[in-house]
Formats: sequence, structure tokens, C-alpha cells
Amino acid sequence: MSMTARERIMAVLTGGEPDKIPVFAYAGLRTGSQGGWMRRLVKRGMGVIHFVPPHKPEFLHPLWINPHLEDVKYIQIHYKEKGVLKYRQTFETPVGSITGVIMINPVPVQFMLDAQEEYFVKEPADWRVVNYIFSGILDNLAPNYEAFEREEDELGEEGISFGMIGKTAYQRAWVELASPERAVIDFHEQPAELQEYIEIQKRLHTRIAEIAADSPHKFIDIAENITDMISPRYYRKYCMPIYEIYSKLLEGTGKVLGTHMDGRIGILKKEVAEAAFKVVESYTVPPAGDISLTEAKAIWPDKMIFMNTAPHLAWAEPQEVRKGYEALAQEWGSKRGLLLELSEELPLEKVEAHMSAAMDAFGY
Amino acid sequence: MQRITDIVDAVVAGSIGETKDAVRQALDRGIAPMQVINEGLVAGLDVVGERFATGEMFLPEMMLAALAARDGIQIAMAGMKAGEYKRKAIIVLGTVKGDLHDVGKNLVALVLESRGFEVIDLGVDVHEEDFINSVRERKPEFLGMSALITTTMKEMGNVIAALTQHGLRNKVKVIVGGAPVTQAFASQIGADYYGRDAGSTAVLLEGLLAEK
Repeated sequence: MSMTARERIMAVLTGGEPDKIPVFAYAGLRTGSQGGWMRRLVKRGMGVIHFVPPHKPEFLHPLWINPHLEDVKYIQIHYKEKGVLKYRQTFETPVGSITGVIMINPVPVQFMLDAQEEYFVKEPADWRVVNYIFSGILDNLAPNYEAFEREEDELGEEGISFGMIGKTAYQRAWVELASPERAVIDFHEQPAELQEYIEIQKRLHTRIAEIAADSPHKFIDIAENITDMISPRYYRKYCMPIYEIYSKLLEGTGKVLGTHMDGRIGILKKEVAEAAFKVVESYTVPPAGDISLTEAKAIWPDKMIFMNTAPHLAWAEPQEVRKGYEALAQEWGSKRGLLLELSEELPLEKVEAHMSAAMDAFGY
Repeated sequence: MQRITDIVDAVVAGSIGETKDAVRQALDRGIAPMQVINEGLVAGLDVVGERFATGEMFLPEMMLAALAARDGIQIAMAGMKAGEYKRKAIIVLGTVKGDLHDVGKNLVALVLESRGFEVIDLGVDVHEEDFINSVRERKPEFLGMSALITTTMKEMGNVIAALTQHGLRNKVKVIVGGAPVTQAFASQIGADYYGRDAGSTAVLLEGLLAEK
């Protein structure tokens, strides 16, 4: 009798061997599920991933950033400009206001591919407002276990809920809060407000790690979006110590820790090897990525790889997709420690055929 | 010369304030603006470029250096006659239709601008006709297109086909880049070059200009 999707991912997470390499998709990516492609693939054995933060309130940009704090007014205004849908988000606090604009992708693609047109932090003083918001979040942090139980109940054997955690300080700064230029300048020049921000983020993650440790989650995933926009020095200084905090607090709980790292991460080979997490989540295969599965296996022997759908196969015909994934499976050489996930995006007209071909390749 | 060395060091250190101060001091000492730019600011960027290529420096440091050099060039240019600072070449840049992402494209724009290119940045979600019009009107040496997602990368091929239809293909060199873009894809769609990152793109384009 073949395993369920949940049994497969749990086998991988616990170091066991599933009957087939698990194939999963982020639930949110079912936007545009034309006539139910996700339902058809789930029937075939594809698993579904839900995101449920182990704590509340949450700040996971751009989805969940209203902290619902007493003295923080969060305003969202939707409008259209030159054919593009946008929304302005404003936080009004006793220490000042910050505002930013999100653009909503004009072509139907999967979620979280909207883009920031205007960032919240425009000058160093704006970090004070950010700090006020996150201090409020920290003071109000509480478990979110019931939401997890609800999602898991709905998923049953068809999937798993990832305990999604927000980014570490530098990544959060340049991806979500300030522009890359602003973040890079401030992290270099270290104004007092930025130093306070870094300290608050550390305390926030420590408290979140405590909550996560007591949660019923099986997999805790830090939504870092690490690429080559970080240097090894910054990774060691701002990311790895936080992973260490999670690792220590999760020790003995049976939970597995991962970080979302998509794109080119070759400059961090050594650092990832030393980092205190077990899953490289959303890993990108070459040629879009710059570490092969062969090399990943060699340099990170204790890590599991949750690989994103291969970008170079995104527009390929099904037979080429199947061959591509057969080659990747052969390269990895085992059913242990590897999972395929639709965790970024594929062209909507290709997604069902692509995932189906991948499942063919893995023997579904 | 110490003042010039100070500029180089400040750019390599990614210190915007120190770069601006060093440029001002050099100009105050009577050093010609073009010498400040070429032997100070651009020389500093060259050092950063070399260290980036060898893996000693990384994108955040390259960004800081480019920001510092760009500000330094603005200060130096203020003391120059109109037209005295000649840009190396013109590049039209844009993220293709349907794609709103611009982090990589903006870094390329910053690096190229700091290295003396005139950058016409069309922004994001740039439709085919806007690329065509810009190439027709501004006659750039280069057209750079970026895409972050597989869903939109095919647009690059559409723009290249449109350049051909409008008789503009042989008037501009096309370079493409972005997270899902690869050399193989660039070749497949008929692009002239593939830009892996901001640093290698700048080196590539300057090399092409030098060959002319």
C-alpha cells in the first residue's frame, strides 16, 4: 500500500525513506487552478503545504502585517494606477508614521509575487517607527496553536502545515521594510535606530522560538528568501545566531528547522554547512541555482533539500520535464532527504503538466 | 596622490560620506573633475569589481561602492562644463511586461550609472512597444531586459522579435538577466548576451565598448 503525501514528508523529515520522493505544492499557489489542477494532482498523490505561523500577531510581508495593536493604526488603501492595482499600507504610531506601496502583479501568477513600489523605511529615523511596531508585537506574542490544529485537521493525510516564521533582521530589512539601498547603507553605517531594530528582532525571534518549541508543528520554516543579496559576513552575523537560537530551543521537541533559500546561494556554501538548520527549503537547481544536487549532498551531508520546481524546465514540454526530474532523482541517488515543491511559481498554463510529469518521473 | 587614494579607499570601503568628502577635498585642491572621476571613483569601482569577481566582495558591498561613486560623480560633475562629462554609452533597461520586480535591474542600473553609462530606466511591467519606442528614439548601444519569474521571461523573446519586425534588431545589442534567466535561455531567444549579475554585466558591456 503506498504512502500518503503526509507520510512521505514525515518520512523525509524524520530521516526515513518514503516510498517515493514527495511532491508538494504551496496551497496559496492554487490561484488560477484551472478547472481544479491542484485537486487532480492531490488525487494522484501530490501533497499540499499550508503556512501557519506558530505565534500571533504575525508580520509576514505582505500578507499578514497588520499587528492589531492598540496604539498602532494600520490603514490600507487600494487603488489603480496606469492599469496596475496597488495598495498603500500605512502604520500610524505614537512615535511617527511609515507608509509603503505594494503593486499587485498584473498577470495571473501565484501569490506573494507582488512587488514593493515604495518601502516603509526611507531614512534612518523611520526605524524608530518600525521598532515601535515590533516591540508591540513582541509584547503581545502568543501561541497560535488552534489555527495550526484547524489547518492540519483540514489537510489530513493530504499535506502538512509549515510553521512559517518571519525573516531575520537583515533579510527583513532589505526585502520587506527598506529598499535594498537603504538597508545596505544603514547596516553599513549602523545608526542607533538600526541597532535597536536588530536587538528587537533578536528578542522577537527568541520569544517566537520558545512558542514554536511548545507548538504542535512538525516543521518550522524561517521565510528568509536568502539569495546572493547577502554577504557571508552578514549571514554569519545576522542569520546564523538566530538559527542557533531556534535550534537550541527546538532541541528534543522532534521539530525540524528549515530556512527558505531560493536562487543563487553558492557564496554561502560553508556557512550553510555550519548553520543550525536541517532543511534548505526552496533550493534552486542549476542552471538558475549555483549548487548542484551532487555538490549539495557532498557539502551538506546532514541537510535535507526541499527543491523548488526547476526554472529551466518551466516552459519545457512534459517529456523533457520528466527527463529532467528523472535526472535529478538519479543525481540525488536516494529517496531520503529530498522533496520537490512548487514553492515559487510556474506559468499557469504549464503547472499541471509540469507537476504531473515530475510525478511520472518519481514513479507516481 | 593622496587625495585620489582617499577617494579610491572610500569607494572600496563603501563609505558614501567619506567618498563625498574626499571628492570635495580633491576638487578644492584643484584636481580636475575628470581625474577625480576616472582615477578616484572609477578606479575604486574597479577594485571592487575585481574583488567581487574573485569572491572577496559581494553584492551588498558592490551596491555601497556604486552608491558612493554615484554621489561622488554628481559632486564632480557640478564643477564641469555642460557636456564635458561624456557618458560611455546609453543603455535602456526595464523589467518586462507582467513583471513588477526590479531589485536586480536597479542594481545593474546603479552599477552602470556609477561606471559612466547613461541609463534610461523604463521601470517595471514594460510593454514591448515601450522598449521599441525607447530604442528608436534614444538609439542606445544596449537594451537590457530583466525578469524575475518564469511566467514573464518569455516576453524577452517577444521584444527581440519586435525589434526585428521594426528594423531595429541590428541597431542595438540585447542583454538579458534575472533569476530564472540562463545563458541557454538567452541564446534560445536570440539575445546577444546574458548578464548573470550587476558586476559581470558591467564588465561585459565595458569590454564590448573597448573592442569597438
